Amino acid sequence: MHSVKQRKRRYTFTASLGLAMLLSSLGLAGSPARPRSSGTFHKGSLTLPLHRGGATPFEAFLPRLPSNCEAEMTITLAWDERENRVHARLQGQHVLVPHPTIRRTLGVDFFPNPIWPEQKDFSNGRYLLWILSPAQMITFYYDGVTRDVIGSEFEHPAPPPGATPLAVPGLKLFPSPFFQPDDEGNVDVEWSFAYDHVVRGDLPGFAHSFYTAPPANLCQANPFRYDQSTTIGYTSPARPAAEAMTFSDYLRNGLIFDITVEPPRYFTFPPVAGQTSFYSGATVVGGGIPRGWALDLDAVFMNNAPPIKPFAGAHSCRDYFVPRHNPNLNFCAAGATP
Amino acid sequence: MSRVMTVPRCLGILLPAVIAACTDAPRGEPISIASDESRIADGSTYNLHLEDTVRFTPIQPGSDPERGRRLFGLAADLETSDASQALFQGPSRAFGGVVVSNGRSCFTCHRGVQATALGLPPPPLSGAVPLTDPLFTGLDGDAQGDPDGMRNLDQLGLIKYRPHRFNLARPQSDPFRKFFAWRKAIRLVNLAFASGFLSDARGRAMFEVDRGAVFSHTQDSDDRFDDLFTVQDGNDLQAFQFGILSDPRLAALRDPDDPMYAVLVNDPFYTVPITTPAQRRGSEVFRRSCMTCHSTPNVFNNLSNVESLGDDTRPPNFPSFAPAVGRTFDVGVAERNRHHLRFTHDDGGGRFSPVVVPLANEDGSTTLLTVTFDLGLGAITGRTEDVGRFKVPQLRGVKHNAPYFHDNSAFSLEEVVDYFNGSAYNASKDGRRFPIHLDAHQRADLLAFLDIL
Repeated sequence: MHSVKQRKRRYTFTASLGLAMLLSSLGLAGSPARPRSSGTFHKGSLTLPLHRGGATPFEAFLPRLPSNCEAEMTITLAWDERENRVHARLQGQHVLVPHPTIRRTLGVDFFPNPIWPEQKDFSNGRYLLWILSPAQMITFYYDGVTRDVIGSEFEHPAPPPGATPLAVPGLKLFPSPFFQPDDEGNVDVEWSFAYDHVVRGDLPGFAHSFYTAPPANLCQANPFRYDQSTTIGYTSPARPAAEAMTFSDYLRNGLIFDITVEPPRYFTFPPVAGQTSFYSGATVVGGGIPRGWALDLDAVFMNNAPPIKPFAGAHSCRDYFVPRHNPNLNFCAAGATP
Repeated sequence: MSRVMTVPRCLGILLPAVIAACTDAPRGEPISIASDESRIADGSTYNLHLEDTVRFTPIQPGSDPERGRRLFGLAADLETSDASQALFQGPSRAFGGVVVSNGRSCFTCHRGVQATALGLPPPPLSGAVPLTDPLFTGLDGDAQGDPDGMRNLDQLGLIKYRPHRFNLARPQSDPFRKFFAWRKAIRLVNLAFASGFLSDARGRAMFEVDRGAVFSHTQDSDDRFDDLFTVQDGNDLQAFQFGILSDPRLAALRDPDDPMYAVLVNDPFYTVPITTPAQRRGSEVFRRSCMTCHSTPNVFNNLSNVESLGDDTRPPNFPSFAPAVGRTFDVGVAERNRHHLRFTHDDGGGRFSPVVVPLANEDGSTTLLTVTFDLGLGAITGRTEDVGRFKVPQLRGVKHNAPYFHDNSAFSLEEVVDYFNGSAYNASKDGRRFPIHLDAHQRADLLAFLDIL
């Protein structure tokens, strides 16, 4: 009886996944896919189109893409807590270049980052799809004299002597297995992971990393105004698998998807993500992000403008660099406020 | 009167909420109204992860509702003003100087628990509030010199809101900074059961709502003074406001461990004093025709919510991404602009110019919309699909809460029912999805039921 129930549950899961895939493929066949979700946090599915520039962090490098940058990819997720399974499928036609070579220019579209070690150029690259979701606060430490950021609680389990702590809202993220498109640039990747134990697809011995954008220097940080603070990106090294969260922790806080290129060998270990972006999207602000629009991170954090804005790199198909979050304010200068 | 629903009665009811309500509610865990419903939520307007679950924003640990009452500006009698500890003023680094309050407090627009359910009295307001009150003398805190400000406040009970006013990173000429609307002061009773706050749902957390209200109603400029509004202030204000319930029994809905939790969830009318056949028939009309939107049992606002990071992993002044709101609806009220309200920008010197906002369409194209009515959630999300969408208000004590709708455009419950039973609602965006057609008997029964809410 138990096996029959299990078989029935498996059948139901497969059927719902099939329905989700069908809805997804219908979207691909005709008009662009629409964001859709069904079910609950316990059991359900989600289909979301991904576009160039939809949900990218500051300082992300967006290489030009096949199909004149107009193609879209579709991510479909189906989850079942009782089956303890999440199944993902990423699809797209003429969307990516296999084994890409990426060149960035120092000071133009690549800025060395003391808290995010990253390889500047990529040869024979390989792709990862990242799934991100809002997470807890992350504490950063700042030098007591220079006020420069030193690192986070993950590099410094104990506060460095004389350091000033600052807590910043973070996101958690984990990747798919590595994948490559076929010679036509088509992608059709499927993978599964446990609902109650979300680990990296490329390195199952590790779980999530944390991402955020802390102030680079406390003199350039308005404590009440993210939109008036000079920030740099940060990604923590991957956390051990023992710290894996449940998929519910991701679903309940909304999702962001982004595809990066990574070097053929990990640049650091445990690895961090690259600051590149190919196709991205989000459900974190509701309604997905339409083609040609982008997440407005300032507005998302401050809640004082619509959370999406026109993507500045739309209507052209060139390499694009998401500008640094750098208003160049100095609140330590004489007479400066606050 | 028996409050236990029988199985045959359950079988005759189609609404998912009621189907779920017929099942046994497990104690100690949230009851998911839609747990077995395969509900497709297209992504055009709503958060893709909404759940219809009886689960509400928790009160922050260590909060002090009594201090919250004092900050609110309400005396211990819960009816009169005591602004002695309510004013937010003083030197502020964030403001870049000294904030001088105009004398307003939360009480100014939310006057008394019994008197107004923490709202404003019916207009004209000058009939109940002296013109020397900060409600009038502090008008420029929100109207900022708008020539229609006093008339709309006094005669219609409407306050000017600019939801993106404190975005100092954008120029004053930005259309979203210029956008404004005329709305009533929401009655705060049963606020504890809201998901997403303010009539357009833009408030992610009460901290954000209360802080914004202090910024916008107590001084004339668009400058912020975050450092005068502490996390403890926000926690205490929320704790006080969440304690204002129309019926103390409703508190059980916030606590799955309360023995009455399952009772209130499973019988949506448990606390409604139904005594006559007309009221009972009216409850069934309400169940069929109104509870698609007014779905929270015993409160009757909308239940859909997002369980975001309300688990103390972030402090309340760092809520999750915006906007993360519950479900909103466009029932056509905003579009009709019954009071012929002006939505053009006051350029000064008697000149006015249109406010034109760029809105995203689902296909990625942009609509340049000239604002001629209150855009509701559309002005918050920047999406065409959300134009005219507003939160679903709670309905307890509704007969005492006239006038109705976000723009005070219906003066009686009869008008409200006739609106939803008429062509304007049924032709609206959500009226087409959820049509309402009542005959005269059903209308009378529904009014009898609304009268006892």
